[in-house]
Amino acid sequence: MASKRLTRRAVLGVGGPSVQDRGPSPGAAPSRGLSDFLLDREQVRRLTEMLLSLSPSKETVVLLRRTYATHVRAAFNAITTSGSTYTTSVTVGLVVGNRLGVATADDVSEAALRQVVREAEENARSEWFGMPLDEGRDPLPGPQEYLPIRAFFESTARATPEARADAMRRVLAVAQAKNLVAAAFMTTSAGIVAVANSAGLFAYHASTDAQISMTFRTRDGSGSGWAATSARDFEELDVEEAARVAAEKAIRSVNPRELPPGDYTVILEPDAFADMGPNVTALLTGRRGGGGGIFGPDLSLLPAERVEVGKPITNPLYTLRSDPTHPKLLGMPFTLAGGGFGFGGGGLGGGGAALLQAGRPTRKITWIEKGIVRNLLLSPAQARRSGGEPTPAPTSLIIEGGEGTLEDLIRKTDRALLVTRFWYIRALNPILGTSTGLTRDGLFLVENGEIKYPVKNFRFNESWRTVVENTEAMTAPYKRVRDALYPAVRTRAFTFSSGSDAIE
Amino acid sequence: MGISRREFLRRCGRTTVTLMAVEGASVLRDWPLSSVAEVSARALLVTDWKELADIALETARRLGASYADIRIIRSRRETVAVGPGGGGGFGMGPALEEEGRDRRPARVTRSESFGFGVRVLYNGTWGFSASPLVTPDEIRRIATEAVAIARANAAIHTARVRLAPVKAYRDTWQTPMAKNPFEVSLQEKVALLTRVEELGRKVRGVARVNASLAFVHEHKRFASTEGSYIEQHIYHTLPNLTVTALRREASARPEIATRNAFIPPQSIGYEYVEQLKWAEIVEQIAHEAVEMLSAREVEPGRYTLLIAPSNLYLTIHETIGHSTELDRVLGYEANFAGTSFLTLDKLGKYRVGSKIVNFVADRTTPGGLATVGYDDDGVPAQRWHLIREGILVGYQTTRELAHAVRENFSRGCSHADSWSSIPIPRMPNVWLEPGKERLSPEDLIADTKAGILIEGRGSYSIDQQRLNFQFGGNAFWEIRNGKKVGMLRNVIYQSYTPEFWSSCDAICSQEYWVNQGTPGDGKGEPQQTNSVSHGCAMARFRNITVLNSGSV
Repeated sequence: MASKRLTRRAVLGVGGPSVQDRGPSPGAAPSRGLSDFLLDREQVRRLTEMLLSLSPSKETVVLLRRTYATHVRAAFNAITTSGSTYTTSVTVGLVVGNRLGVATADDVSEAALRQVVREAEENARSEWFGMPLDEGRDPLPGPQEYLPIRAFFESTARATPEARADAMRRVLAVAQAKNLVAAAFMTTSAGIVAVANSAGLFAYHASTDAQISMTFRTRDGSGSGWAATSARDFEELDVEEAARVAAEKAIRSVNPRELPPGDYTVILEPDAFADMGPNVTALLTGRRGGGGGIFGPDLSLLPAERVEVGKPITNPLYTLRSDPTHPKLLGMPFTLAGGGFGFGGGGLGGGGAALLQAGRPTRKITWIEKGIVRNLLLSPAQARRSGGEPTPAPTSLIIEGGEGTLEDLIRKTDRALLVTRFWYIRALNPILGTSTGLTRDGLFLVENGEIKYPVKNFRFNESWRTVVENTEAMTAPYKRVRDALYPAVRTRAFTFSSGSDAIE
Repeated sequence: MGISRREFLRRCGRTTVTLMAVEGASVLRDWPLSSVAEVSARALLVTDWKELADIALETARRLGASYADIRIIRSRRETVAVGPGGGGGFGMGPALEEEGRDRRPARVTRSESFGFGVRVLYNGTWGFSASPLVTPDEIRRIATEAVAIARANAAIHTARVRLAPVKAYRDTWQTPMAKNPFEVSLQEKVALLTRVEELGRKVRGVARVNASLAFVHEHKRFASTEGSYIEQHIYHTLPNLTVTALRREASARPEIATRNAFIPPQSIGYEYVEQLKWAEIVEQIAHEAVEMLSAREVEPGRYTLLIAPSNLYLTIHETIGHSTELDRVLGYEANFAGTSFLTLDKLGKYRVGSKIVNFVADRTTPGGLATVGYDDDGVPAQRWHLIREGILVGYQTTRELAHAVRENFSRGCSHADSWSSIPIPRMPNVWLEPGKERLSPEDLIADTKAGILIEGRGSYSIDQQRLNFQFGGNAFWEIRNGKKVGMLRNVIYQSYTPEFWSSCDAICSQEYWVNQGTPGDGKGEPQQTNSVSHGCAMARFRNITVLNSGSV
């Protein structure tokens, strides 16, 4: 037994993750489980080196992800369910005879690692799973420089069940005090992700995140308000402020008035705007689909409008740039290029040739400035052809161009409907960029700079392109929703097509 | 107690590559492509899994849990696809072009997942934890964590959970099937799909055909402190077939139209694939796709709608399936998808639909995607009415929810979509009873003076109380004086649930009932997926608002 243990330890090293200590964390000492689970940079380097050394191929890529995720859920002012999950995913892609084979394991034991390399090779040689590659394909990227991004906070990783339950208790207490009924959902996650390849590339990133959303209803069900907030540092997650906002919206949304369907000027708060905001890929590739072409090269259907650097492409109010180092985003310093990353198993044959380019750095880049194209999206092959540098995908996006706060924007508004969020959005027509959906949990009429009264919910049918083109004002960007930083915007002629009696 | 390491390793000895005597190695984590190792590994698990399960239950009990259960689940999935890369959407055509895109004649993917989840009740409060490492030590650690979470939550005010009683079952169950899809060779599957694709492409005007098969196998082992040990093998077979037609004109923007056959996914074996009339199906939808290129724009207005099962099943799902989930009614989902307009006070009284409208909840339907032997609380599968002659008469319940409708038994709707998910109340199959008198879709069309016939699924959106909804479709025909007179495009219909079902004045009969369904229903936080069937026959609805989705 002892010798086996030594072998594993020799492979994986000892000790826990070397993370920034943010001072005393709440609750009891962290369980040994998590320390062993979140491998540090050195442990991962040894692990990936082992995998690369086992591979028969000089074109091998290894992806590793380990995540510890928790959740606490509440409804009618009480906690309903709560849990935690440990997930691991190790993906190996290797090329044999110009064919790519991919395999995934959900375990980092020596046995599992040997097995996954074996399977990847079998898949490469298999007529079913081996993916034929272009002879003239891009070489694996070698060692890269990455933006320094510290996105891991001990306080989040070590947040105990007691600390998490207490955060939820504080939310529910606000609802109780105002005689409201709360439902809420809070998650924390702590994880590591790494890429290594046989050209010497090694990338490692540890991150944490904490998110909470809540819906408060009045006891008679006639009013409902929603709020959400997030922070990578659990100590910065301001649950009380979110609860205060949700409560205020709930109380102020009681007895909504019915307005007729039609086109309205709307103020979209960031969570609503995030659902109907600019699609950078669509704008930069000049195609009229939701995110790319409609057909492949042999059926190129819609002629691509020529997008060039220096050409105005959208509303001059908009500047769209990527910045993974922004303190409110703290995004990924590298891309994974879609390498079959399901947890606990993942997919075989689903990774695609893009897996071989995993580990490319993200960087700060301005895509569109005041409506004018500053950079195009360039894949490695496109960059080679045009003699430029490849660009990463538009992650960690910041949408800016305005100033001031939401309160400032409201004060300068003659008449508009203020939208908290949208719900059940479904694409209607990707070519036009139209979607349908509903408003929910806080719809108010603003008139002469003030919120006048709540309004009954609507169903909308609208296109994000229209929202962007018709934007007349925006705040400074202030809220992270998913992987981007959004402002609130005021935009004209938003189509509300029918009414809904639904409150909550 | 758990078996000793030595005993365990002795039993391991016979099997091949995957089982290693390395401390901390995951037991049986691999389903290698070799079926020999698979069979041995499975045989091993059958004898030992109860001992592993007992470790979780005893650990939880020892730490003060009043109830505990464990799910050890191995699931695997295989997809086989032919046709140019990317899949057809809802009438919208394939997705991104890729550089260095996949040029294999067929695309095959396989994935598996193996792990366990432990759920406990401590002081009336739930706790849960899960891990992919199925070893005695890890099971102990995870069970301990689940109890720690439950204890932390119990310390503050929580809704105390009351579970309706359930008997102990020691049983095994498998989806009834004749041919295990995972034992059919890839050669055979690819040959079938390739033939279908070739047939489709012969039709003039067709640009591409995408044909695929997907198979799912869930091997679930459940044990609880009630004394149950239940092992189930659930199989799903999901064929998919789309045809895209293309017309290019010199200067105008090229037209495309995609028609999906909407072959009903079923809980069944490969025999289903063999019995389908592929040649007829692909020929028909290929011609329809070409015809769709010339479809006229629909004029917005109010219409009589004839809705085929391939569209109606989703309307059933959204308006009736979700609105009768009791946890949703009570407010458990308020922070996610919302609540339901079918509040408790309406039980037994409220009119949801016309007198000919009856909905049955049923986890025993042969071929139903939600058909099982037992749910994830260990409750046997059942059947009951949700709506009878248009009136709300029942809900979907679990052990935890039963008391809210004053029942002391669960209707078996608990479901976790993987080993890493906590069981939550999920929809069973919900089907619409067919009309009592013989009525075919042809009869129904002939009986309709003016209207629109809708087939296939398109966009779908519904509000947070399941009232205001707006649905699209895939293919639409205008009906005039009892005949189909040409195709329409961009039809979307918008209505309110009780008004919609109350306007139903005809339903085709038993012979035309189709067990349609969807493998991808989302619910819960963290979100989980659920597969569910909604059998129905074509039905007619009067005076429904229709909009044009191309000009909203």
